[in-house]
Amino acid sequence: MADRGSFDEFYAGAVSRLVGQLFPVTGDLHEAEEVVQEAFTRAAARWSRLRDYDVPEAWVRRVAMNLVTDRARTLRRHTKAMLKLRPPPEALPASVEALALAQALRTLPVRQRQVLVLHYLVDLPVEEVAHTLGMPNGTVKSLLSRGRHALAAKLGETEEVLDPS
Amino acid sequence: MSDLRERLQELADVAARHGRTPGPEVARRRAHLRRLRLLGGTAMLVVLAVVAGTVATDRPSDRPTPLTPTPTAGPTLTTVPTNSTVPLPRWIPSVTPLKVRAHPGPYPGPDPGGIVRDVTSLVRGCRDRSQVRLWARAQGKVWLIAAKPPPPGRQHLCWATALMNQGGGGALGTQSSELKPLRATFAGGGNRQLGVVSGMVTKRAVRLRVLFHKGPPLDLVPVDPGDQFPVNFWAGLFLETGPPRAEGQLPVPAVDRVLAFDQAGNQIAACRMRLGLDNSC
Repeated sequence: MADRGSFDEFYAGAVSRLVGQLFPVTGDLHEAEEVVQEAFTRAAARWSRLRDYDVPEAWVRRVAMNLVTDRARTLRRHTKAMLKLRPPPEALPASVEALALAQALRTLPVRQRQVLVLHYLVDLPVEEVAHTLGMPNGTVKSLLSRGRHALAAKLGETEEVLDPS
Repeated sequence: MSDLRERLQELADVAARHGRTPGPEVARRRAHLRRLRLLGGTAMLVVLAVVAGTVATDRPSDRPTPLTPTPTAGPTLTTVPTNSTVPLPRWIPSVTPLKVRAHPGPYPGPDPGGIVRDVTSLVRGCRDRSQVRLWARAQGKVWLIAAKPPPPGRQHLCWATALMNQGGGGALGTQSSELKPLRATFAGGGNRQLGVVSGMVTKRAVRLRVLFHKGPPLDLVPVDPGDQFPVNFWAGLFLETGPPRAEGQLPVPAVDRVLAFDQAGNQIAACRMRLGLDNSC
């Protein structure tokens, strides 16, 4: 019972935040909800161990990110046609700038989207992004650089505007 | 001009506000079902091949006993077409269609194992409450389709299926959600087992015909789940019979094709049931 209570509390505190973080990666709210829900299902199965983690949310985020990669790979390999049949992404009431960013993100490779979101939105340093995605630091830096460059080009802005730091 | 960080945060905030995930109990229940599946080892059914589905979950308890098939009125051919490049011919069961009426939901019960609760809670996304929209009973088992209507303007449906037996055990499956004029999923039980073909079809269709590789066709009438759904649901049940499947012999879905007809008798949709990429159902 205590397990159930603590899992429910964890879920309630993290689920919306994680959906928000996964949305710019998936480009589709429904898909973001699905991967987050699946990640929480896996967390529920391991909750007796996960609850002792310092940040169980980081584990769920990492699983969700991996699921996005797997799904993207599967879709590419097996069901290109399905992509054409999928419903258009749901339009959300955000500013023109944010919606343009969402649109531009959808055109980037999923790995670039992931590093951009983890670094700029979740605010993880390069080393933790690398750990989360299971790739070397150099690859993360390279993906960040290419992602920023591609976004700036698609948005018609300079990289300095996107990342003043 | 806001920078990348601010714009990403805005997107995340909007998505977090508009996201609709089910409560933690759904994640817990799914995890519980998966644990049961792992503990159970072998599947409840010899084969549960939901061709267009994504997940199948079975329960270890209350394993059904093999069904006794009714005398077959269909073809008695039991040999399998061979392909010279495949060492072992694929197993294609003969089929005896069952005259079973599919009913609209809700399912009147009983539900000793909570399968109705489980199949409705498996339906994710979309809007409103998940409910059983179709049920059909045969051979001491019940086939259920639970669904939620799509949100306005979206071309997908959220639904799940379940096979429940008298003792309360069963098997669950979530289904692919893109709307199509005709969508079919197949669950085959193997030799001397109940098989099910079911799915969704455009509301223009008033009749469906299921063509099997071996066996007479099965004609079905769709069930209307209500105006909030852009499609109707349908289900057909049948018995699969021999010859016994040899070890290592891969099964082929008993269903070959599904056809949909309008009021005037014109064929308005069709799909071909296959394993893998050739499947158009």
